[in-house]
Amino acid sequence: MNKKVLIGGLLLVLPLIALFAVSFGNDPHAVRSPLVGKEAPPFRLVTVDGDQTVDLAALRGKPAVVNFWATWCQPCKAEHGVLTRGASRFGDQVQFLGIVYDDEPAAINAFLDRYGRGYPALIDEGGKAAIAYGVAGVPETFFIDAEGKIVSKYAGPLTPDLLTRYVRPLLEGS
Amino acid sequence: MERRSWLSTLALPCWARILLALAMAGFVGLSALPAGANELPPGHPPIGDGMPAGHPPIDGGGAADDATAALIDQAVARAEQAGQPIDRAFVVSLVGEPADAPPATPEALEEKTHAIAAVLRCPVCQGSAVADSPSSTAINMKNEVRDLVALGFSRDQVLRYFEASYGQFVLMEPKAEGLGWLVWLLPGVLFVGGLAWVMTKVRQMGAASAPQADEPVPTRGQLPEDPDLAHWVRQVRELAYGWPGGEPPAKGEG
Repeated sequence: MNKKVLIGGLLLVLPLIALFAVSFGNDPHAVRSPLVGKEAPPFRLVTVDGDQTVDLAALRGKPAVVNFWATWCQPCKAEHGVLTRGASRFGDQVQFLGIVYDDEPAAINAFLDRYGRGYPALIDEGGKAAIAYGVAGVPETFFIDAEGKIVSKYAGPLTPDLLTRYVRPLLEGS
Repeated sequence: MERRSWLSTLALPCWARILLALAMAGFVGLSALPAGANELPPGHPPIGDGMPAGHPPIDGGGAADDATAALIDQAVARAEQAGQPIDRAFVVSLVGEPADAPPATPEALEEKTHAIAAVLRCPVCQGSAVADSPSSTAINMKNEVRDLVALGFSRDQVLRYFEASYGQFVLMEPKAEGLGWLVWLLPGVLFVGGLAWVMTKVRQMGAASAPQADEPVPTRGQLPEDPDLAHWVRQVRELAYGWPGGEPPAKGEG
């Protein structure tokens, strides 16, 4: 009887142990998006000051870093500095774009005045771009190669190390 | 002796029946959950934002084509006003040309939108459907569904469009393919397995408690041989059954 209990218990517990063993090494932020390897969903969005329209298709030939963010998102504040510095460091080779998610122009302008403007901030009214990119929360960043294909996606605030790690393959490809 | 006969004649089938009924009710309830959990009862008006302000009134009958065209114009105009029109070409590149005719009336559009939103998971709220969530993400997603439906995309196409960006996670019902089969089959397998286990146990207990052939079958008038014990048994019978002197009434008396 004890043997039976032992075997039954092991049968129940072993799959769980296997699941944990497989999952523990993974970075929970490195989300496997169905979009990775596919063409980046196109968008034409107006900048927050309303004086410029950015068309992703027009950027073909240059890799892009597309970051979804919001002023009400705390991790986005720290990340904003990383991306601003990234844009000044890699800006001549990679186009940095911010798409503001579920936010107001006044709040966005106040945020940019305070934390700096390093790259275009685009308004996504109705969240259509966010939906096309499968954004489930901010910040989320998509790395798009010169051919317009999504190379990788990162969910969560980027650090300088992470940004460099994700941008480097874009530079090699171009 | 009494306990044995009580178990073998009365309790076991009853217990088994209750267990069976509970298991079946649970299984039926569980299997009904994913499909119907987020649907409104028939006849219930759709919950949600309703039609956008300024939607043209639409009559049925001959005006249907005009009404449909107006609906499409509305969807496009609304999206353009919002800053970004639906990229129809991009949606078509993912799911093909619209397979359905656009709904003829605002009510039909809203009904279809709600039905699709009920099977889409809201990605920012744990475990609730787009149709049930008041979050702005869910509202955006529902508006997107409405715009796609107004353009004539079918339920399947709209779901595939969302699946292309969010993955299968966005569907409230996992697809019956690959690992998804487990979700659909495992409850059935566990139910059948559990039922088989319970039936085996019940049979084993029944066999154990059935009177053996060489054991004398107790009758209701029988008394233990020990006179002391027989005395107490009579007293108990008198108290419990109201038999005078602890003697069972003759057959036919009650």
